[in-house]
Amino acid sequence: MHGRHGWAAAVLVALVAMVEPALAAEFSVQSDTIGQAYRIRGRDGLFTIPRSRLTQLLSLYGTDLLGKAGDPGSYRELSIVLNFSLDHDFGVQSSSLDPHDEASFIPHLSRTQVGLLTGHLSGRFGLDPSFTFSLGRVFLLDPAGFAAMDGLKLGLRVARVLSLQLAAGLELAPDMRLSVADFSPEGVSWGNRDGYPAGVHPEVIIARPRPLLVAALGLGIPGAGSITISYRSTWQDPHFKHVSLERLGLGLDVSGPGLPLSVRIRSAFDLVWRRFSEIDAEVEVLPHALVGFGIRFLHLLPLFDSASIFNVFDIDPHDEVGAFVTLGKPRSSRLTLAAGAFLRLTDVSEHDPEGDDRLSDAGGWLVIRARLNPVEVAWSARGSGGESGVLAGTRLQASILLLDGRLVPSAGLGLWFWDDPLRREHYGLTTGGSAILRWRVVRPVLLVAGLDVYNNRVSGTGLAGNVRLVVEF
Amino acid sequence: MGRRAHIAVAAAVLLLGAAALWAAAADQGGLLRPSTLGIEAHHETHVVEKSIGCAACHEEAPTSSSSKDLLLPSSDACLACHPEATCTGPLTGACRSCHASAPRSILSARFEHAGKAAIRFDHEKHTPWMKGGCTACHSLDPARPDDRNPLLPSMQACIECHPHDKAFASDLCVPCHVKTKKGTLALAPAGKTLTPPAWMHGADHDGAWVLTHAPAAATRPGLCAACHTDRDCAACHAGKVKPESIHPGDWLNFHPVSANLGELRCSACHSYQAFCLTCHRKAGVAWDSPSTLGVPAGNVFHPPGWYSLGGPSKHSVQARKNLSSCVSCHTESDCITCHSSSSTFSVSPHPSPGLWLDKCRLLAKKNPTSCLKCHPSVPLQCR
Repeated sequence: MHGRHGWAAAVLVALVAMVEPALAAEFSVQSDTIGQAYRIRGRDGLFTIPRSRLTQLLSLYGTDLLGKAGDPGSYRELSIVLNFSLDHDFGVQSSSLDPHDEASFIPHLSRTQVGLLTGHLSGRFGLDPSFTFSLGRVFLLDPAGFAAMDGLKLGLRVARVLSLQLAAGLELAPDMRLSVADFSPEGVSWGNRDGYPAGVHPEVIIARPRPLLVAALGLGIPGAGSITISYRSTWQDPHFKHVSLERLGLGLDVSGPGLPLSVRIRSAFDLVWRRFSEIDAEVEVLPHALVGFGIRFLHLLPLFDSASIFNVFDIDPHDEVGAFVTLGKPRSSRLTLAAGAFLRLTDVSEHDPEGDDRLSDAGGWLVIRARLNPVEVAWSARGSGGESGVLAGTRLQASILLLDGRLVPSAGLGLWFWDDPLRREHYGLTTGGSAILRWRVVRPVLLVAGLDVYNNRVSGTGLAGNVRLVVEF
Repeated sequence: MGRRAHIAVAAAVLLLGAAALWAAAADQGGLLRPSTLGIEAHHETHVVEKSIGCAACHEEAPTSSSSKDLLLPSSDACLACHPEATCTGPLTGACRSCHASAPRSILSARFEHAGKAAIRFDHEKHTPWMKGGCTACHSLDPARPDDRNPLLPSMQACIECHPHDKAFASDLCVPCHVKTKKGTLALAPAGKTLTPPAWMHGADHDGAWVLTHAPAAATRPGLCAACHTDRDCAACHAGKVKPESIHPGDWLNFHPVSANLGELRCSACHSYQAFCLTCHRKAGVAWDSPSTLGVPAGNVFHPPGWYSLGGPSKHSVQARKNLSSCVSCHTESDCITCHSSSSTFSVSPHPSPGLWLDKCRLLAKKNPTSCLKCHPSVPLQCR
């Protein structure tokens, strides 16, 4: 009898312990309904393609599941996040969905897609050292790249100078349950081939499941930045035999309070090709809170999945070097000005021995934004010339804040000219205009409606509209 | 340089200078302004010249536990030293030495201040630790390179102190910043949008931030997560909804320019083969567009002679320059039609054997799947 009472008391104590944190927890729901419609006119008006889609996002957040985070020294946080989406594309042709229609079929295309963008249970414990975890469908971000996966992500940070991240799971692919990931290794259609007739779309890679491993080590310099080295690998098969992607990432971040300099570098070295696939580096000097200038270097070699034949073409990298200057604070200054110039090079000497060694384009850009409460005006202009032809464009955008910023109508006009040496008849001069209305109907409800009008050489005059309703509570 | 050029350069410099001056007059909104109660505080006289302790006037400050408390001196505190300042009537010249404008109700000032408090702050907890006194945080230096109210500490000053430096290094912002039910920072807690300063990993969210955020996000994803949820990433990267900041009004027109020049990485948000093909096929742009459209499939986009070997368009050069653009219309089958050892044309897509063999071996070792598509049996020496 005593034993039974003891158990009952223990259960009661456990329930009370669970209820107390639950009472302190916070829950939030966010709903976003987006309708988009536009039509594409074919060359010379020969045909019109009406496109429209409806997207519904629903997010559920539960935070502080262990109670209030409390003092930073004993920090603990447990949260749960679920981001659902429903997407219906009214413009998908039936023939594109039929695997027996070899001319039109598009693998992994569907009219209606219900999915889970992300959904995970996450925790964070302690301040120094701190331990974090996320279990479920998560985004992964490190210098080597960006991915979504179903799996476990662990993090450890010690004494501000050392951080470790380890993540393992199955990379999100179109044919996985509740998958909605559209970003992908370039040009690759991965998934299973069940139901495909032989010979139809051989490029579809049989890759289910596709393991993913990411490990990252960060070394921090308190007050000055950090260096991050990461390793990322995905395999085509569950036996880790054939590599789909294998990269080393290197990230450098130099910034800190009082430092008049900010350096950001992200680079990815492809271990399959043993070449840098990406280098994105920016050095910015900040002599004053309102002034910045710097240089930016980009190296891009868009490599494809190892299992795709797009990967065997020996493609050439783009190199771009640019300089920029900024004036004013982006969100608070009456006037902000940003201007820059760039030089883009593609080395093709290896493949075009008789032609120029380097294809080059050079140009500049300018963005001016002025705030004259309640009106905000932005003007941008760009121009470039070189191997890709002469390109010049300008855009003017104006908005006005009404009803204490709850109603914001804006309008924009764009004009650009491109003399593409390979397709002169396609481009030339193009004009476009847009009108957008943002209306905070009541505090949790936001309505955004937009209408775009454009005119170009290929399709004449076109229209596109979109409506968005956001509800958050 | 001619006279006109000189004038043009001078005009440009003048214009930039005027713009700089105007920009420097940033909107200073924030928690406390000199005009909160219409009083000129004269800190220089009281603190520096007379060496009066801060708490002598700001009596409630040392024991305040909330940033919602308005900690300005009461009129009694002023009158203790300035009995002649007892209000006797209209705002005259003598009054104006302290009162810049007519005094406002302390109640309304308290109410307004409480609504603007965007940071959690406990003076009582901090006071015992501040060996340098109040001015350790509340600098009286008017020359601070900051456009905020000089009396309020900047975030920079907060994170110089332990344990806030630890919290900042761990991307833990919510102990000080107000958070939402989603667990992220409240971005407009006092009606003004919070953005990180430029010294914080360059994350000041300037005009080009949507295009240049990748290095900062890759090295400090935790910092992004302080304000953003996964949904914010997915809003663009899931590729379902057109974000105005990246794809403005006439994007449908402009996208070929960006794609051709490789300015944006389309694959960061879209799957070329599923997203681009749906329209490119129907629009007759793609190689295998149905001929029922009334346009010659595959011949709309490329100039005559595009595919011919050594032709004027040199499609091989263009493909190697921007293969991503090709992939938005072409599937592997299209390439294999010519570039396969088993096809009629057997056009090798590889460079000369001397340049290719090492790469070939490397690729075959990591993953021979792509080799096998054109070479049904990969020679052993390549494996």
